[in-house]
Amino acid sequence: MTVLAVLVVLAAAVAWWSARRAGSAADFFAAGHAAGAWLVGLAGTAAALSAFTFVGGPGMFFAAGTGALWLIASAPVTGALQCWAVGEPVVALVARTGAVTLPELLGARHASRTVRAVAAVVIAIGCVASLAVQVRAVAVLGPVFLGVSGTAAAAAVMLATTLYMALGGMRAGLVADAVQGAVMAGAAVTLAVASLAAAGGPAAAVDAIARTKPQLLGAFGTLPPARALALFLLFCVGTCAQPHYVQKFLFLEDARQLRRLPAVLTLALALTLTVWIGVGIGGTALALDGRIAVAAPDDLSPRTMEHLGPWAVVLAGAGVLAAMMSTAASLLNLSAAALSRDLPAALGRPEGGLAGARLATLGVAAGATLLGLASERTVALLGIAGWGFFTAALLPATTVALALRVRPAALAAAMAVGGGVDLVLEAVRAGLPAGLEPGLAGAAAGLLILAVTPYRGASGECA
Amino acid sequence: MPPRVRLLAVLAAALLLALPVSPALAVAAVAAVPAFLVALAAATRRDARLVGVAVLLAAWHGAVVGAAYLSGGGRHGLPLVVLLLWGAPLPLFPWLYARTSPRARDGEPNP
Repeated sequence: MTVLAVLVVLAAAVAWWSARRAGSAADFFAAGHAAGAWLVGLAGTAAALSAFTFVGGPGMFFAAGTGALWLIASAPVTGALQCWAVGEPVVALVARTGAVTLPELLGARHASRTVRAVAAVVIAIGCVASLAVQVRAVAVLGPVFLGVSGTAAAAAVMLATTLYMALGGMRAGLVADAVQGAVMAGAAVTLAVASLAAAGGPAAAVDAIARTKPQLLGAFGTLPPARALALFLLFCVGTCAQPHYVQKFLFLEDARQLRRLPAVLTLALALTLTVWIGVGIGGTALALDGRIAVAAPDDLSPRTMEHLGPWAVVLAGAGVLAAMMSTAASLLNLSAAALSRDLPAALGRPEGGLAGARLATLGVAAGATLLGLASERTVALLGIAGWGFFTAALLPATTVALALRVRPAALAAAMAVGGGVDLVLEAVRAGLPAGLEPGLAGAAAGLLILAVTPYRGASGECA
Repeated sequence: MPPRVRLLAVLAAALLLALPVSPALAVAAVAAVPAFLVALAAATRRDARLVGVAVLLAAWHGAVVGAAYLSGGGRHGLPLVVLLLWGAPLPLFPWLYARTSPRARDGEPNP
């Protein structure tokens, strides 16, 4: 409870500091286009990684062994890949158009209000749903790591995040995200090292797993190889389509910041993901040696922390809170932008201004909190509209259509069809062959639509 | 969309859909799709060095995934994935980006 009270007070301080600095839409939605590589890299990594990194990831190693590592195996590549494929066109287009949101950027690139409207709808749906899932995760993990009821934990975390995001927008969010990113990285490395040390070191941990469940140590663990590789691809190319990743490129001061950004992104990502590997391997060894009792994969991380001691539970709680708040902050801002700025503009109506953005932030936060605390079935359905949905709907838009000119109607169709394919396939996921990922299939459909539609201009290059 | 990019986009989309069909197609998809995104940047920038990066990325991913298939279920699968896919390229691609970033290409002094 003390941790949550401190959290709300800190959030109020950040909100007070930033409220006076967010005086324009560019400040509120794009941090004033004034950020450097370190700030954007740390904040981008924090926004990208949710509590799954600290809890679900290690648990997945317990269940699938090396197969779980394919989700994060693209981390050394994704920072540079994002800058090559998305960052450079975004920064060039922002300099030319002054856009402050991704739908606005796509609309300006293709001189199309329809494109802007479809992108805004896709982002609003995906962000509100993902936000509700974050709320649910806080409610589930609150009792484990914070010792309070799930509802209290979810309400406090959303109150704190909404406070600084509604008043300061991304001026506040960027600074808070960067601090949270540093907390996550520090906590992750410490917990990973401690978990491996508790298991007798990396070699002893691997030996313990090899004695009891050697199938976990194969190249794909217990996952079918095609499924492991599809997850690798989904999380590799999918980084180029997540709006909370792409949004960070709009914050950059200028193109020179891009040069150092992949190094910062890769370093921050690699440090934070050590918790997935270290707690996964160390905790699994402890469980297989009978030193901790694990009933379900998601128990692995909490039981390992308890084995390490109260300091580890507190540190993991701080990491989980930082991960959730940073992800929620970006999702709040993106959905508020879509609802208060992009959709009205695309429909030819006056934009909501800063007051409208603040109201939209409050409305989205309240709605997502209620959705997240609703029935588990509702949340399970919302969980579908996450990473895969954004990959399916936005990958062709953020890569091909930001770099090259395409027919606006084709782009709008690619986003709508891609998202639709993902949702339909997710509904029948159990019957799909291993390796057919709905998010990738949706992205493929969108790419095909763009590729088969006639190219309209003579010069397709981004300015 | 220029014809070559159009062709690459169709190929990438086909490989994404064909990934479950066979191990060879799965390896090809992992090798080709991320490389397609770098090739897109090469086409946008008209920078031949990025074609080299795309080929390197495809070769790296193809080789590691191929090795993973060949390693079977033995205990050396874990270090193979951690060291070759995660550890070794960790500094490589940020360095390659810095070397090929637009300012470096134009010969301007570093910021």
